[in-house]
Amino acid sequence: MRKLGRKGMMDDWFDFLFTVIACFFILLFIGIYIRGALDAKKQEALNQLEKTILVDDYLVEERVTLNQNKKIDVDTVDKEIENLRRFGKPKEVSSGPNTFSAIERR
Amino acid sequence: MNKKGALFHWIAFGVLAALGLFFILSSNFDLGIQAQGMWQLTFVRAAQESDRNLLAVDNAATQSLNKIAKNVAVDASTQDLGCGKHDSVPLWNLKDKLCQLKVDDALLHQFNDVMHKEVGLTYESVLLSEGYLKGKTDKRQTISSSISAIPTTKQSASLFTQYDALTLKPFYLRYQYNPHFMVKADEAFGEYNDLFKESQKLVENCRNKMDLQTCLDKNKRDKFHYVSCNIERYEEADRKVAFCVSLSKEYDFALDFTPVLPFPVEDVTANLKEGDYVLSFAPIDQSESYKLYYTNWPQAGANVPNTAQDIFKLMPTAGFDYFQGLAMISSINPDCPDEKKIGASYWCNGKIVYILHDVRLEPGKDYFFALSSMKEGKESLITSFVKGESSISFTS
Repeated sequence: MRKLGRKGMMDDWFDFLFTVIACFFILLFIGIYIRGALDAKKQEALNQLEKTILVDDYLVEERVTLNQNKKIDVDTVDKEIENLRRFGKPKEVSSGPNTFSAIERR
Repeated sequence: MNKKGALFHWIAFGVLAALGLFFILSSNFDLGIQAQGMWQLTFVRAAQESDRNLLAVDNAATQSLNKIAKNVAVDASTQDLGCGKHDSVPLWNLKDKLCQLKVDDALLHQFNDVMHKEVGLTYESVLLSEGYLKGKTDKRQTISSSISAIPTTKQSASLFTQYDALTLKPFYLRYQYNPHFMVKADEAFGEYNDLFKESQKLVENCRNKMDLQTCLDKNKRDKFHYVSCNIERYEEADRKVAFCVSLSKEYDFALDFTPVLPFPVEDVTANLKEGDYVLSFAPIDQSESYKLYYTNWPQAGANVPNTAQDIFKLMPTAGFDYFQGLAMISSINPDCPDEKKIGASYWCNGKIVYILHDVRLEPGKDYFFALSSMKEGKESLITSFVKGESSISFTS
């Protein structure tokens, strides 16, 4: 049986070390990937729920308007529902003090 | 490690780093699983579609209502509303029956024309009731397009391009509902509705009063004119009275004040004479008998006008020495002798006089008396209780 020399042992040790480090990074990336994917789905579910609630709120507002004997424009209602479903709640942004503010959608 | 070996290891690290960087930059984490709750949200969104449709139906109904309201208001004071007519004007009630304005066939046709144009629907029944216009139809509408109800999400086609993708595969969805409507008609018919309510209140207040004109004079609003808005004159026929009310337009209608109960007994006096109470009251036409109620409960008169049963239901019993007495007055002697018998009633100077004796009625204490009239098994309301007087003022 041939005995390993010092250089050979070091070589095996480095091989082992590199394998461990490689496995660590592989598992790290897989973990990040899975966690990110699940978070994204959770966020998506929350976003969809929020959009649906916004549409509900909007329909209630329009119902109140109608009950006040005011006319509503059904085309505008359809567009607003479509926008809420696609983009969610409009958020107000300001481009700075003493300048104009604009409504943009998320 | 020689140079060749080191290079090999660095290449492995480089590949791993490149893979990691790619996943982080692309940010398209998709494990082939779908977001939770999308199926349920699809149904909620389908229900929202129906809400939106019903909103459009109500909107169209409101617009249609405003267009036809003018014609309907005119009919309220010209057409027979189901209670008949009195002096060529429609009766708005007949005894207990209320006759509300109905959207008749012609107006229904007009209404349906507008509704069909606006939302493609027609209604079999349209009714104005309690300030609302209500429409019913047997037709059912269906939400079946699952594509529009399924939530969509942004998907990355590459690093710089995105598209809307369905969160679920399309599936069979069927949500059905009746597109009924109920819209406020107060503004369109507000004037008529208010007037109708006021007129019914007037009927409630006065139909059980014998002296109808006095009650009407006391209870009617100033805008109510008898018969005509120009020359007012009181005319009553078979307890029916015609009115004219001038608002944005002139309303001509009649009200039926036929009593639903016998007339109440009023102007009762009760005087103590030699240990007995002498009750005196004006007779009620067509009354078959009378019931005399007496009590020592001082709060008896606080809940009138009301039925005797409801009044004495509130009388406290436990811990109090209150009592309720009852005497029936059915046969009346036509003469008025000086010596009257206990428990008998007499006809004296156009009034009925009854002699009441009860051992519970002690001299020096306060007692309260009320009478009701009976006719065809119905009992009148009690309108007041009178306190027994100890000194007699009655003369036979």
